[in-house]
This record gives sequence, structure tokens and C-alpha cells, in this order.
Amino acid sequence: MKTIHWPRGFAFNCAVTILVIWLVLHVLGWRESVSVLSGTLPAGWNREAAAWCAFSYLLAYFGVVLVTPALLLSALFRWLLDRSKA
Amino acid sequence: MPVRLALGGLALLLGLLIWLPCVHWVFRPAMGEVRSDAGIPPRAKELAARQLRLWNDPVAREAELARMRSTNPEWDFMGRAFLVLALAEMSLREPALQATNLATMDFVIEDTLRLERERSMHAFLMPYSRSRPFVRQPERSLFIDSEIALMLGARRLVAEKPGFGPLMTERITAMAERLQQSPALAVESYPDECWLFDHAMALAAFRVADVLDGTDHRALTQAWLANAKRTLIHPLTGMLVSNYTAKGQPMVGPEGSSIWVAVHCLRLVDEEFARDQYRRARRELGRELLGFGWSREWPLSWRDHPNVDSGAVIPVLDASAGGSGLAFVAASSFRDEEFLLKLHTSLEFAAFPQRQAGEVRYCASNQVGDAALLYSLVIGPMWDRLKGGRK
Repeated sequence: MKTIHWPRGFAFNCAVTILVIWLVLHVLGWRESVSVLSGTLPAGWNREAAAWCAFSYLLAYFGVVLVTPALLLSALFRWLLDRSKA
Repeated sequence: MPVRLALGGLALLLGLLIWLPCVHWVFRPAMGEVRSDAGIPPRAKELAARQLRLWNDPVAREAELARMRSTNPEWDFMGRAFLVLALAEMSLREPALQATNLATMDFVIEDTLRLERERSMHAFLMPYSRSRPFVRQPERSLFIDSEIALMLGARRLVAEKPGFGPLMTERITAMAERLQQSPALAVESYPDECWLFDHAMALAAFRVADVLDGTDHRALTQAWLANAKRTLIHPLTGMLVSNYTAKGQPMVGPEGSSIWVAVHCLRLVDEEFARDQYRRARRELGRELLGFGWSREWPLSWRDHPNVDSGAVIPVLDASAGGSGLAFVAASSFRDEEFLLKLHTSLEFAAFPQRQAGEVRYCASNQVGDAALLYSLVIGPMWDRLKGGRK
């Protein structure tokens, strides 16, 4: 049976990756696509593209807001734990 | 290695347990930003700036209204009504804004009347308004009449405008006649479809007419209320149902997209009943978690499929975009400040505000959503005057 690892820095790297993904989507202007939540298409978008972009943006945004800080905290806890052991 | 995995998982769990209860503090506005007993709260100023710019820029306005109309022409109409009501409240709060606001209110009202004249009431109704004949002929929609009457009344409450009085009286008379002639006191908004939302708006418009023009619709209003309490109450929740046939047969149960604005309007004619309905709606539809607040579209005891009124419904939480947007109106009207703050916290968290040059709009919303929100931020003086019977 394969052992599952939790590499050092894993939580921190995940947090940074989510943040970078969100930043890219934000710079691309995908924030506008979330108007599909109110049933309104952003100007110049087709329905499928808007729905897909909105889904991706929402996922990245909630990842940044809800998960990234928790990942950073967990990275901090691991670092403190490792330091106390050393 | 399993120890490292367990420690990593435990650290993440601990991080989540610490962070999630704190998230709302990042988004929670100060009460002073969203509520003010005198003057206009800063958030309302930002929203109003955006709405006024939209209505004074023909290209931007056309693009925004077209976006909404492609999904639902009703939103274009309701966005106008909420904006006019909001501008009236703002004018009463800050008389210095009257000149600008009245000009925009007049433009919005006249443009609405022009569109209705040129393209009929169906211009603001969903296509199924033509799917079969209205039971009552000639066809009229209470949705259109009530909100136009209320827009005209709100404008006249701020300052009288020649010509608007007769236009309002014509709508009020037509609505009153139809109500009186219906055995079920039910007037259609769509063919054989009557809506609580529109009847509550009509009762509010009657109240405005009584205050402005000295008419007396109290007997008719009381008759409607007595009938509604007898026939339109959902047995499992005690809440008013959303819509019913022209014979007064309920078609669905209570809905967030109807009840929140209905209770705000009913405050003008039966405060105690309206407050009881608000309490029930809060219990059945209002939800709170970790400092955030939202509204369900349907209570637990019955549900429908997500539709154009409910807007998107977020699974698990059952948060409805339409219900939550209109919950601001009721929470503000009934001064439910704790729920109001939680709704605003959710708005800042999940409606994606876009701030620029003193303006704000919410990316997850549209013009009607933002106009309803603006109205909720400034509710006060006009409703107080109407309740007190003062012009």
C-alpha cells in the first residue's frame, strides 16, 4: 500500500497556488462573469462561456477567502511544531 | 509518515476552525455605513452615484437594461420603481438633492410611461403574458399599475408635478375598481395569475393616494386584508402565499422574492399583521451562519424549482439570490439591524462589489438588484410620513 505524504511546505504551496490562480482570473476580468448569479449575462459574453468563467472564478475566490488563510495558519502551526521538535 | 499526514491534517483543521468563524469580520460593514436615521448612509451614496450615472448616460443605460431584459423584462420595470422610491426617500432625507433626484425621477417615470404607451404593458412583462387571455377584460396588469402608481405617488410626495396627479388617479381608480369587482379581491398581473407582491404594492399606492389626494381606500384595504388572512395564509407556516388564481385559489406557497417586499408595503396598512408576517418570514426563510445572513426562497415545508424570481439558489445553504436581495428591504423596514448587518456582510463577501470613483455596483447583481439595495439603505422618511398620514 502506498503511503500518503504531507510534504513540508505543502500547505503554504497550496495557499500560494490558489492565490496565484485567483489573481490570474481576476486580471483576466472574469469577476464580471459572476453576474450570471443574478441571471444576467455580462455584456459581450455568451451564456456557456460566462457560466464556465463564473464557476472558475467563484471556486478560486472562495478558495482565496476561505481556504488560503486556513492553509497559511496550518503552515504556521507545522513550522512552530517542527521548530519545537528541533 | 502517517504521523506527518495526521499532523498536517490536524494543522489544517485547526486553521479552518480558527479562520472560518473570523471571516465575517473582514466583510462586516460598520452600521453607520449602511444605516442612518438622518442623512444618507455612505453605501447609499455610492450606489446612487452609479444608478444616477447609468440613467444619465444613454449608452450605458441601454446596455444595462438590455442585459436584464434579455432574461426578464420585469427587472427593467422593477429597477425603475425601486430607483424612483429610493430617490424619493433620499430627497426627503437630504432636501439639497431634490433638484437632481426629481429630474431623474421624472425622466424614469416619463420613459416608463412612454414605453408602456408605445409597446403596451407587455413590454415589461414576461412573454407568457401573451400566452392566453386575461380572465378580466380589457387586460391590465396589477404589476404594472401598482408600481407606476407608487412611482408617481413617491414623486408627488417629494414635490407635486403638474400632470402626474391625474395619471396616478387613473391607475388608482382602475386598481380599486378591479379589486372591488373581484369576488376574491384578486387582480391579475398575468393571465389568471395574481401576486401578493403586486397587491401589497397596490395597497401602498392606495395609502399614498389617500394622503396626497384625500381619497379613502381604507374599507377596500381592510376588506383585502381580511380576505387575505382568511384565504391566502399557508397553513404550515402562517405566511401569505405568493400567487393565486383570479378566483383566489393559492397556486404556490410563500416565497422570499414576494414576502419581503410585501411585508414592507403592508406596514402602511396593518403594522401588526405586517410585523407578524415579518417574524414568520425571518423564522422560515432568514438564515444566519458564522456572522453571515441570507434568505431562502422557500420554507422547509414546501419548495419549488429555482426560477426567474428566486434567482440562483446556492445548494446546501439554500441561499436564494432573489430572496436575499429583497430581504434587505424588509430587514431595513422593520429595523432588524442584526439581520441587516449579516445580510450586508454576505453582500460584501459574495456579491463582488466593484468600487470606482465614488460609485459601487455589485458584479453578482444587476441594475434592479442594486436599485433594491439602494432603496433598502434609505427607507425611512417617506414610509414614516405615509404611516403618519402627512403629505
